[in-house]
Amino acid sequence: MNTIQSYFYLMKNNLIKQMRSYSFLIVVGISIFIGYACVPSAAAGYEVFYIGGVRGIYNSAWLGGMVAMLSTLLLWLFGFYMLRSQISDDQRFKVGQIIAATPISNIRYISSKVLSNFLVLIVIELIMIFAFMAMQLIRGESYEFNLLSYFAPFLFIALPSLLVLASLTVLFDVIPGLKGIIGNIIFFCLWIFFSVISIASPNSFWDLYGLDAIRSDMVEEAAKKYSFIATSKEGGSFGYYPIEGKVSTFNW
Amino acid sequence: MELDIQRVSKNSGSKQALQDVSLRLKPGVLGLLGPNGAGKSTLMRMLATIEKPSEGTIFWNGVDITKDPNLLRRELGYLPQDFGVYPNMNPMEFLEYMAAMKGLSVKSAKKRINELLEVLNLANDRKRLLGGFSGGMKQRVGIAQALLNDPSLLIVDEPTVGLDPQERIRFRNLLSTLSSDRIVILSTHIVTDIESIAPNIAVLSKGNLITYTSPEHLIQSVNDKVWNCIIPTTKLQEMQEKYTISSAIHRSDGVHARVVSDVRPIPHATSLPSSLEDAYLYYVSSLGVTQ
Repeated sequence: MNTIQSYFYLMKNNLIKQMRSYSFLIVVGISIFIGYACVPSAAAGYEVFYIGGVRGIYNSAWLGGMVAMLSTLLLWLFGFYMLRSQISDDQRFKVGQIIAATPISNIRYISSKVLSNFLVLIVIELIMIFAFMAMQLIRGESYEFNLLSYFAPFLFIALPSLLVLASLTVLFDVIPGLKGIIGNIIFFCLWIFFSVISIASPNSFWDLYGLDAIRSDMVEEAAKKYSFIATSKEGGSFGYYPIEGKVSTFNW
Repeated sequence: MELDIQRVSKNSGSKQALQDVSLRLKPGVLGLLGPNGAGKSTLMRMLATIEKPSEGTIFWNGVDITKDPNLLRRELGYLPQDFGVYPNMNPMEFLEYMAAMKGLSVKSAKKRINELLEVLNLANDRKRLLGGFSGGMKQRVGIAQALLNDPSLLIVDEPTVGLDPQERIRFRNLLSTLSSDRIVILSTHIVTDIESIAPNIAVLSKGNLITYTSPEHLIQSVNDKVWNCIIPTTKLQEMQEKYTISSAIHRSDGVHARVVSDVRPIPHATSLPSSLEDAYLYYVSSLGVTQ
């Protein structure tokens, strides 16, 4: 088996193993729920992405941007805890000794775990994208479907961020001090730190999720139609924001 | 093809798990016998390149595997005593995954997987998840993964645990067939498992190699040391405390105890032809393991 074939089979079977687990089903369920909850109807009385009380029309561009931002933010949390013990699992399932007696190199074994985790995260991301596509049709504010608007943020924002996450899942599993509950707590603190930095500190070097590229453009576009946003220092941020009356929209 | 174990010792903490063991193996089955804690699994883990000896060296075809383990790993099939499988995979997927770990070519891996599933009677369950398999079926999957690369050295540690009598016989026959052109090391504490298939037997006890010989020699060496003693049931406990008893059958005239001892245990004891089990008990008990 040459290197590419070997990686293919290692990744394929790791993906199968993961996709048949309960944790994967739970994360997929959460992803679909997020798709539903984060694209509220005009009368729902709340917003998830707040730009001074206005939001974009639910078209492909807006929802593509939203799914890229939300998935990187939330997948970093759920995805990490789902995938953080792939190497420990080999020991837990008592397959470790068999693997140790094979000629596979440490680099290939570890990199195959990183790439497999990356693949699992991509699958979840794609499920989220399809959930948001479905929400575009359900909410019916725009029936113009633009696949590039969904997949460009996925390619340029989400993918690099998920590759970093996949690497971290393995890193936290091979460094002894980062295994177990201590690693879980450290990662949670890191997630809070990076989330706060990404949302509160635009253009920051520490914006690991790459949210600012999309968010700043959304805010700029909103400011063109609603002048009060241009003078506001709030920018755009994620959270649960109750809205009274009908929400104002703009085209992004 | 030669596996040369030279004065190998293994310390684990303050305990010496293996002491100064030397063996030279050629194609065929080596039965590795010994009670629990004798050092069988430690020796096997070292031969499987998972652990390194504290002292001594192991050569595979003249190459020191403690320095270059990958050379042996490419030709090695290993079934550990306590192994597991991924419950969310089916046998095909698991074996495909292990074939990728072993670096087999796709074409030969697929062919080999299909052959092994047939031979090990798993073909009808190839699409079932391993999580639902019985202990014996998992054991057969473990055996299949060990044979994936058609290994020149096959190490199987307590492979018949969990197998029913029919499966044990089938497995013994499989090992016997495989041993013609490769070295097979079969570890067990069940003497009958190796009696019929191993031309060489090594007995380990408390980390020491007690003997390394053929089954015939091993049996011959205790020829005048096996006794049939008919005793009252009330005397059995006393007899067990004094001697090694390989079996005790309750009959109307008393207990027929099969005693392994250098001396006649009781005046009217009669000599019996020895078996491999008697020889095994004699050697491990003479070091105070069973007495």
